[in-house]
Amino acid sequence: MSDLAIELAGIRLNNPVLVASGTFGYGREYSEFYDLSLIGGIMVKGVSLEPWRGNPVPRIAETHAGMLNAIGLQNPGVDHFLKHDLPFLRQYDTRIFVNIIGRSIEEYVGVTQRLEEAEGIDAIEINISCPNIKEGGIQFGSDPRSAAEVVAAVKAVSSRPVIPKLSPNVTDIAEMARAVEEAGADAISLVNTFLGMAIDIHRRRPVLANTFGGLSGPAIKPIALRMVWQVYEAVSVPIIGMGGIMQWQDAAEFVLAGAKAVAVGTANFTQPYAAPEVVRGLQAYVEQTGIPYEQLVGAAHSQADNG
Amino acid sequence: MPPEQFVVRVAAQHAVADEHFELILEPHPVFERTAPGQFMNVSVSGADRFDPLLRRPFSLYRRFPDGSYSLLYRTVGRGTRILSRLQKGDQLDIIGPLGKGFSLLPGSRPALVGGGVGVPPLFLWAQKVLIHHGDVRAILGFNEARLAICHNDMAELGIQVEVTTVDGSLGRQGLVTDALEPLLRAGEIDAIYACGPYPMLAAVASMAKRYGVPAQLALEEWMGCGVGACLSCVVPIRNGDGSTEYQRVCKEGPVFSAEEVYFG
Repeated sequence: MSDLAIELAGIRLNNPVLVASGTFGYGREYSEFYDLSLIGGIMVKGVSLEPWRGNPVPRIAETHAGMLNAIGLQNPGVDHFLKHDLPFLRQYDTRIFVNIIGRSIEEYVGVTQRLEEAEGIDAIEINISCPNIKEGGIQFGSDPRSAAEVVAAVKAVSSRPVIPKLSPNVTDIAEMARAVEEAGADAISLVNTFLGMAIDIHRRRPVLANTFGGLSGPAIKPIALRMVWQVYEAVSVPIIGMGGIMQWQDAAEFVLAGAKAVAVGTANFTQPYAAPEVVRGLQAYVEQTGIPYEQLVGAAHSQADNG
Repeated sequence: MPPEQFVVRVAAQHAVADEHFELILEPHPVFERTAPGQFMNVSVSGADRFDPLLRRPFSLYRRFPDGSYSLLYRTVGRGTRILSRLQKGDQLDIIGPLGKGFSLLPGSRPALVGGGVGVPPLFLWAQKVLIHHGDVRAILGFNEARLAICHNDMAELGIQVEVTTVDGSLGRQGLVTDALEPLLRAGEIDAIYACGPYPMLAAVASMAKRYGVPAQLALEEWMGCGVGACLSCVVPIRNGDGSTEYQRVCKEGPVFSAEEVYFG
């Protein structure tokens, strides 16, 4: 059996397949389907300083080969997470990436400080890219200077690797990546969802109560892949690639584009076993090609005809 | 018991009314351990195909003597149109059972109150449990006669059925609540199990409260994952202190006690 274990930002992962924040709750629901130790890591649903109520319904709309969501980062807050969810997750041999959210830099820093009091957290993923809340989130993720400020502030109080999750809703993703790298990011997650909408033609109004939502699923994969490719050429920190990964072939594309690790997101909703199946598929792919996993990361760049 | 993903074969499919089909599935152990009111999350796109992307939640409609079960649905969109083309021998990928089903309320004169495609989830509850615990009555509302479903199956089961239609083309003209209120006033109903559109459920809940009759409501909301992870299908639930919090229709529901649901 080939070894898929990797080191990412100083963390050792049993394999490079994670599950994306917001698509896996805090692990409980999918632990009814499989042993969570089978996946390399869990990026938990966004955690804020105080509980957040989230948006009214409808929060979801299906689109062709995709879906829009506007959950609004509903979560029970960091205290609840530390008391009820972290102990549950720590039962498993998988790495725990805590996705943090805030409406201000102070709130991001506040959550990070609360997390510092706990053991068993492997990394902090900063959500500066949620398109569904008016304050915070995307406001930090669409401007390089603001993004860098959040990363630097969290980095200053975190003893753990800090991984900003970038928004694809920007003109120049490479510029964003360079900004957060300079601010001290240990790795970069990309992409979050694409801002979109759907309209109910019978009622003549937006489907989502929030009007706009984040598009995810297979529909976004080519764009996400292109962004991973561009960021790989722009920065030297490792990339966690995501966006429409449904099966191992999609994950392999992200790896070849430059992602050292990948995250399965929306696929969890439709195929609960998607993430462990991606692990199995990548393992077989590595065996079949005979190329060590780490050499596959970004391997398509040297083959590309950029002229 | 936890949900599982399984594949089952289609035994038959037939139209039951305009735009409505009954899809009969071969016996499967998961169906036998499914409580009425729980649901199945059905893939309509098939293996390795990602469009339509999301699974569709359906409750089981009824059990046949040979152990097969059916789904009864209305063709409202892409997913249900694909389902309606399935034939005997085709395979269906399902996750279930999901959510929390009905539980038995005290009383021996229960009523099923259903509107439109909210009617089918009530039948299995009556067939498996309720019919053994009392004289069951059903009040079923539809927009018009051509969309009426389940009323004959319920009558065959021994349920006393009253149909209402908005246009008066079948049964009593009006809404289910028009038929429900006189019965509540006369004290002929001591428990309510309801499923249907939100405005109907809101009216049933307030009527049940007024007459002091306990009620359970099976809610429907747009779902992403069906297992409780995505937080798409939430409904405001009353806390003791007068505030509300969002709970998941797919996990804490779909069946809620009427007094805990906040209708705004």
